[in-house]
Amino acid sequence: MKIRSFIPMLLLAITPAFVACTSSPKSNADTVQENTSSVLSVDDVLAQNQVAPGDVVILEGVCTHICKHGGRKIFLMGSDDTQTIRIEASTEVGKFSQSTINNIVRVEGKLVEERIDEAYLTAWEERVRQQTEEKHGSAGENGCSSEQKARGEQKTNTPQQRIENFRNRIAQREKKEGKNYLSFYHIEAISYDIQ
Amino acid sequence: MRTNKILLYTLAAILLLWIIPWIGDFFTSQAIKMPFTLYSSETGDFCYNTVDEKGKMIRTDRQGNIYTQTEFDSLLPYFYYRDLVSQGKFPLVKKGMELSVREVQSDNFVFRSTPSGINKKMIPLYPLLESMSGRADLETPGDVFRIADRIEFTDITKNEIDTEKSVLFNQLFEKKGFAFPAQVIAGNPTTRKEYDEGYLITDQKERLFHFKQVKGKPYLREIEIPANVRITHLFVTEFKNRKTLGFYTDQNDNLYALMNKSYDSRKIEIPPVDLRNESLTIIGNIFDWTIKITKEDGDHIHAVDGESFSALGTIMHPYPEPTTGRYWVDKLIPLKLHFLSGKDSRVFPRIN
Repeated sequence: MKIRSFIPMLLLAITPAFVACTSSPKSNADTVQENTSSVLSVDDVLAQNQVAPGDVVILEGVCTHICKHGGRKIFLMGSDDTQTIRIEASTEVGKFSQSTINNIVRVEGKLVEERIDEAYLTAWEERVRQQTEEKHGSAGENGCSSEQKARGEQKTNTPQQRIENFRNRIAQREKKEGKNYLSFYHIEAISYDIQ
Repeated sequence: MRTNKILLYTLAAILLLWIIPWIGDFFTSQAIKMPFTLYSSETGDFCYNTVDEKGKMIRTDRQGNIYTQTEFDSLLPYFYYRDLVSQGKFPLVKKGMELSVREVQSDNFVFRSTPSGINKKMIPLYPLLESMSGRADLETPGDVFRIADRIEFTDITKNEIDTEKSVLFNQLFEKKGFAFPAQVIAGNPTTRKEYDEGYLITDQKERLFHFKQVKGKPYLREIEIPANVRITHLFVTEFKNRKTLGFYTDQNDNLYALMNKSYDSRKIEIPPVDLRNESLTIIGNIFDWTIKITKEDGDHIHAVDGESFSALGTIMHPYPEPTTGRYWVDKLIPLKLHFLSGKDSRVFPRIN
């Protein structure tokens, strides 16, 4: 008698737990957390270990900077400040939360290659000349310093100096590797989660 | 019997060699008050305060000008900024810049290195603070690390190796090609500071690394140093203005500043400083640094520009002549035995 009444009670007790586990809507954060086994470091992504441009990856790093110009970009640092990658918010993400700064952020997104070549630099020069360049960073700052660091740029005072530095780097690469462009990588975030 | 006598006389000679100079020093010791000297960007020269024969404070400079307290405050506005605030002289306008109290305060720093600190034997266990805790106050961690043939963390409450953390950190050290064991490990393992920059470490191949903990993860970056430079002494500065990450000296006793963020090494234009035997004091402000090197013959003071570290000037204050008593004690007792030294904290017989 006791066992007969106990079994239905047990079933009643555990049923809501199964319902709760299966019926809750999946948030972006859940999607990212499920794939913990394939989480890459910033160093891995930059070294392109196991990944290639166009791949969707999950990576984790310490957010060192959020773009104050709308919060559309964050920068994740790996094992040191030379290992920094830019994360851009996709339309799904919209903008990043301010609380990402100084926290570990896990991001799912597409690895995008950005090439800087002579055509890119000429167009940039034209924008500078017409003063239509998009402004980042604080007033008086020559662009976003985190972005410059992520691209391994030297400290400069003017956009023209930056352009010239890129030209020099392209020339060096062409001499060494025969490639007349520089490749930089960023992630277009599909979802993110603050750890 | 003869052996006993020899032993007794030897012991008596050793005791006399120790006690007699000690008594001589005790009765002839003189308090040496060296002038407190700073470089004044107002006059472009050094000014200092000292005491005259009657014990009266004098504020003067190399030209022999005598200044009042208020005039002296104005000559050294960055050092005496609190007094200038009370005199209503802020904000200061210097070199075309309007400086607030906060700006002056944040660029002021004092750095000291003494032979006793350098020569002190340290237990090679180091706490690694969290450098991005998100809190205003730093916290002392519950573990310490050591770097021998690998980096290893020990939980100090349980006295157990933290294997998981040790493996995580060790993997990064190996990935970055760190050559174990470490040669020099420098840091400020205290919570009484504004922020934490971890440690500066040199490895067996004499390469310099910056090591800290960021959100529980290791941060390790190799720092490029000038060619043919071998680091002998390292310091993490952690000054309020965050302009420098540290100081170091090389095999020729040249002093360098390691800049924050850029990790550039910049040689400071002063003569070589032997930190094992000489004290170094740097009093810095937004525009210039006054660097005092205390040597056997007195204080050698140099001023350098706060940005370029180029030399601005130099002055030397020799120690005063010894008193007659002191002179005769030194003449009559040329050999002295003593057990302590101001240059280290060890106790062992030394003869000079």
